[in-house]
Amino acid sequence: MAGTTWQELVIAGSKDAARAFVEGFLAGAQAGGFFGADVGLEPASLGERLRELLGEGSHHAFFAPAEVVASLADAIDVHGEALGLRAEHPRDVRGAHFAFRAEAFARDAAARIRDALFVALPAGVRVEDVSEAEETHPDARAADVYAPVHAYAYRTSGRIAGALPGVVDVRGRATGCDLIHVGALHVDVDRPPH
Amino acid sequence: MPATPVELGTLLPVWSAIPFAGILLSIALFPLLAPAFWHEHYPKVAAAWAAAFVVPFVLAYGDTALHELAHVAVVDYVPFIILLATLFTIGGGVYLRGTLRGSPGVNVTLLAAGTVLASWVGTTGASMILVRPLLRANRERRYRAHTVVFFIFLVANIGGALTPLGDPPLFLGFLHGVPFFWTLGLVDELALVAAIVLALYLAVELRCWRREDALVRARPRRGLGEPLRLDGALNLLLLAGVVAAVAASGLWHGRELVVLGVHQSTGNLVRDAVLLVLLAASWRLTSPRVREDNGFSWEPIREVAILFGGIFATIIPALAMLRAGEAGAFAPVIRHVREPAHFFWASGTLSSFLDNAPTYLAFLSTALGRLYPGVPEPAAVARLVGENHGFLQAIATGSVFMGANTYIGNAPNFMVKSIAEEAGVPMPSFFGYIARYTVPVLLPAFGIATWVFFG
Repeated sequence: MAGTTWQELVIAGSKDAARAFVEGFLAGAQAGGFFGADVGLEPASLGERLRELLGEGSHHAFFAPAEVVASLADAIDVHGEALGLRAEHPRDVRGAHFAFRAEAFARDAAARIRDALFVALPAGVRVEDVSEAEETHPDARAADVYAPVHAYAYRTSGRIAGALPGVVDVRGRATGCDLIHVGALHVDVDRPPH
Repeated sequence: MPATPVELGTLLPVWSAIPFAGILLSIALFPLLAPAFWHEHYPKVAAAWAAAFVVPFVLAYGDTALHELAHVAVVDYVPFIILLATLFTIGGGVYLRGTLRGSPGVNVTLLAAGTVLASWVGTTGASMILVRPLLRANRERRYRAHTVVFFIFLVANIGGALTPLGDPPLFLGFLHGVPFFWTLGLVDELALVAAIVLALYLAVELRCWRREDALVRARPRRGLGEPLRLDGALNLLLLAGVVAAVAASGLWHGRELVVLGVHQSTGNLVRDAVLLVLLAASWRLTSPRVREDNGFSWEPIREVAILFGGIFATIIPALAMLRAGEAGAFAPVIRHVREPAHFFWASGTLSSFLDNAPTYLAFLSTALGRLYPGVPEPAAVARLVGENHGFLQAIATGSVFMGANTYIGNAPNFMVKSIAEEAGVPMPSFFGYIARYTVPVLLPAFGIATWVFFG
C-alpha cells in the first residue's frame, strides 16, 4: 500500500446519498477507502456544517487508491445526478499528519501509550517533533492529600506524519488509547488543477 | 491591661489576616503550579506563614496573643488532628476485596454507599475505602473518568454533611459548640443534592455504557470472579466507638480543667483519650496486608498536622475580626453577607478554592459577628443554633458541598484524582473538571438547593 498513490475525491450532495452510493460502489468493486469524517479529518468550515444541518447538502471528502477514485468518479458522473451527487476533480494525496499529546502516571500506562504511537509503525509513517519525558519521585505516594506528587510521570507530545493509510491506522490505534489526546487529521493534497 | 479576645477583633488591622490568606492560597495553588516544590517544601512554607503572623502578634499583644495561640491549640488543633488521625487509621484498616463488574448498577450502588458511609467514616476515609474497588470494577471500561469525578462529588464531599465526623468543617463546628446531632438535620439538603447528582451520574453513565465495547457490556458467567469480602471489619466496631466517643463529649462535659491557661472540659479530654486508644487498637489489630492494599501511609496525617498547624495559627486574626462584627476591620464583609443564601454561596465559593474547614470557621464567625456582635462565642453559637439555624445550615452545606467544585476544594479530591491517574484513568484537567462537570452538574444542583432551602 505504501507505493500506491492515494487520492481525495470531494463528493457534493447530501451525506446520506453520498455514503449510500459509495458503500454500494465499494462493495460491488470489492475495493477499499474511507470518508474523511470517519477518520477524524479536520472538521469542515462552519458554513459547510450549517448547510449540512439545513439539509442543503455539502461536500464530503473520500479517500482511496487512485484507481478506485477514478472508477468511483466515473460512476458518480454516470449515475450520481439522479441522487443529487457530483464528483469534483480528484486530487493526489501527498501525505497526512496528526498531532498528539499524552501523559500517564504508571509505567504500564506509559507502555500502552508508547505501543500505540511508536511501536511497529506502518511503512511510510514517521514520528516528528516528538518530546518524551519521564519523572520519578521515589518518596511520593498517590494517597497524599495536600501535597500529592506522582511517584512516576510520563509525558509525550509530537506529530505522526507520512503516507495517508498508515497515518490513519496509527491514529486509530491512538484514539483507542484513552490516555492520548489525538488532534484532527490533516491531509495534504495537490493543488486543484486550473 | 491586655485586650480580651472580644476586644482583639476590634483592634487588629485587616492586613494581619494576610498570612491566613497566604497559607490557604499556598495550599490551593502550589499543588497545581509547582507540585514537586510543594511536596518537598510545604512544611517550610507553612512555618513561614505561621511565623509571619505569630511573631509580630506576640510582640504586639504579649499575654493576650499567647493565650489566643494556646486556646486555638487546645480547643481546635489538637482535638482536630486526633479525630482525623483516628478516622484515617480506622478507614485505612478496611479493605473491600473481590471482583465487582463496573456496570451502571454497580457504580451507582458504590457511589450511593460511599455517600452514606462518608458521614460516618469521614470523606477521606470513605474515599480511601471505596476508590480502589471502584477503579478495579471499572478497569475494563473505556469511559470511566466521569465515574471518578462523580465519586469526588458524592463520596469525597457531599456525603460528609450528616455528622461532625463526616467533614472537618463540621467537626470544627462541633468543637465550637454546635451539638453533635444538629448536623443530622442537614439530611434534607444532603438527600436532595445527592439525588440530583446521582441521577445526573446515571444519565451520563448509561450514555457511556452504551458506547462501551460489546465485550465489556456482556454479563460474565457467575463464579468467575473473587467473591466480595470485607477485610478489617473489626474497624467498623472501632468506628462505632469513635461515633460514641464524639457524641458523648457533646452530651457530657464533666468538670472544667485549665490546660495551658485555657479552660477545657474533662469530657473533651476523655473523648480525645478514647480516640487515641481506638487509633492504637486499629493499628495493632488490623493486618498489615490490609493497610498495604489500601496504600496506607502516615504521610497524609503528617501533612494535615503541619498545614493545619499553620492554618490554626494564622486564622486567629481573621476569626477575631469577623467575630467583632461591624466594629472590626471586616465590617464590609459582614455588611454584604446578610441572608442564609448569601452564606451558602459565599462559604461555598470560598470552599471551592480554599480549604473548607477554615472557610467554615470564618463564615461561622461572620454570622456570629453579624447576629451577635460582642457576645462570647459559646453563648453566641448556642443562640445561633436556637434562633437562626438557617444561617448555620447554609454555612455547613455550602462549605461541605462546594468543596466538590474544584480539585483543590477538599483534601480527598486530589487524593482520589491521583489514585485514579495511577490506575490509568485520564482525569480531566483543573479547568476541564470545572467546565465539564462542576458547571453543568453541581451548580444547577446547588441552585435548586438554594431555591428550596434558602430562598
